[in-house]
Amino acid sequence: MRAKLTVGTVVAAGIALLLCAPPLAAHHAFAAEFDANKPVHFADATVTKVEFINPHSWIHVDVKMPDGTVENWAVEAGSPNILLRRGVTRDTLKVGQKIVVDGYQSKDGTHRANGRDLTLPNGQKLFLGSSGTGAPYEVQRPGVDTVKP
Amino acid sequence: MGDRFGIRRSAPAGVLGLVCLAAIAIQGQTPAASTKSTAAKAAPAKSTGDAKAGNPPRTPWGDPDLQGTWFVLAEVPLERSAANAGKEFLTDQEVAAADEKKGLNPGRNARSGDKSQDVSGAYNAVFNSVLKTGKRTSMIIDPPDGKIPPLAPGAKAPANLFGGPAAPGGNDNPETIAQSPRCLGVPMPFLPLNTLFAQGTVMQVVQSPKSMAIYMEDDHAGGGNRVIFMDGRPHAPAKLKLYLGDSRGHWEGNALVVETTNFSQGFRGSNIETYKMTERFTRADANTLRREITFDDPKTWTKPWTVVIEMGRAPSDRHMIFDSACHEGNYGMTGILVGSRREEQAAGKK
Repeated sequence: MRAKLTVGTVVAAGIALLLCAPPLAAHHAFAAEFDANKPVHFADATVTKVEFINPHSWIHVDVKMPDGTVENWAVEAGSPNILLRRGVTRDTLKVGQKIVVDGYQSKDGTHRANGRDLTLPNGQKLFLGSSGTGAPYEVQRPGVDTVKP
Repeated sequence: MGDRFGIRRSAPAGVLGLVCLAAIAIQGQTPAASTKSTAAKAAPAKSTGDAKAGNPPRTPWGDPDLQGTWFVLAEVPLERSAANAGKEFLTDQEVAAADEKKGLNPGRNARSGDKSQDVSGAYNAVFNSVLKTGKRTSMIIDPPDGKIPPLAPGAKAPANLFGGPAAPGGNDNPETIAQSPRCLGVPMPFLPLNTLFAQGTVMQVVQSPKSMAIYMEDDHAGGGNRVIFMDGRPHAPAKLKLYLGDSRGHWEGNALVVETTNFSQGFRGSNIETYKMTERFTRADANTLRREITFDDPKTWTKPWTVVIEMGRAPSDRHMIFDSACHEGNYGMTGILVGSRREEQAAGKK
């Protein structure tokens, strides 16, 4: 099955990280669940189901493979409460919508991945600037909560 | 697809949970007690109370009204940094500069050449909450230096602030995986130590004359529900240990003072037999709930220490409180266990 995958290169933006990113909090044992040696890049993924559930959201997608077959994958993302307060609703990400997924496959080789980068086909980050621009008590981050000027 | 979203199901479930809690809490109250103000006969508030809380909103039965959904609206570190030594509050300019820096931080959108870090930092930064900077330089208000007092002789430094990491090799066993991924519920004292994931930042208070219920939202850890009895009953026997402890409250003027003991696990390495947590809930003003917590354990710290957490109202219905139930959707737990077995199998082949 792995031979069918479009295995892409994960782009390193170490400069940005070195400049300003704090150490990432260990929120969940992703390293135990997903394999750093199995990066996946789905350039043509179509949303089939969205689960905004605790403790992590799951976005299910049909992925068109290079040989024309279609595989259904489940992509793990963050918890839903913050998204909901930012104005992301059940209508924000709809069945049939095209997205691009960059992540890492699960260690057991099933069709699950963590959603390292979820973007729209135009390159915009998924959920960015959805219907609101973040809660008023939060810092607005260009490129995260609002589209970059 | 709509019914697969958590929103429709979980928000009513959370409300139902609180209603159930309130119903439990109200059980046993007498009609006479329900109409009598307990505040009127209480002793004056101690000096730690807020002067502005002199005339708080009141419940129909006359107690100060602490109810509502309360949010931590600003980020304040637990301990004061060396850079802020001797300074209790930041200036407006310093707050603005800190927020500007936060706004430029890509957070989880940053990419690394280190794949293991890339895996650990999964998902976009939009899933994180970056609170504005608070003016306080530390949650700790006593000791005045904003630092946790030195450990008592023989006490051990805490291994982990959040109630215990996975034991070595612990990811292959559901009993030894860290507490949070197991959805076991929030550990006390429910401090806003990890605001990026809204952990310790949202709670709902429901009151009755003889008890108070607090629902602590934490969608990742499973949340928590406390019931604080204010009817004068004694603490449970010392041998009875509870995850959230055993809370008893009474009014001192306009402050609800809550003493919690009988914990089944300590906080920052405290000894569960001698550890006591005392909270003072007051309404600092119409839109602010002030929660002071004093941590006391002579076997762990050389003296008690106190934090203050100020919580406010969120601006709209969008900022409602959400249900924290998470066992049902915890597919990651299975993934962690399976992943760990794959690692073991791979190691065995070598």
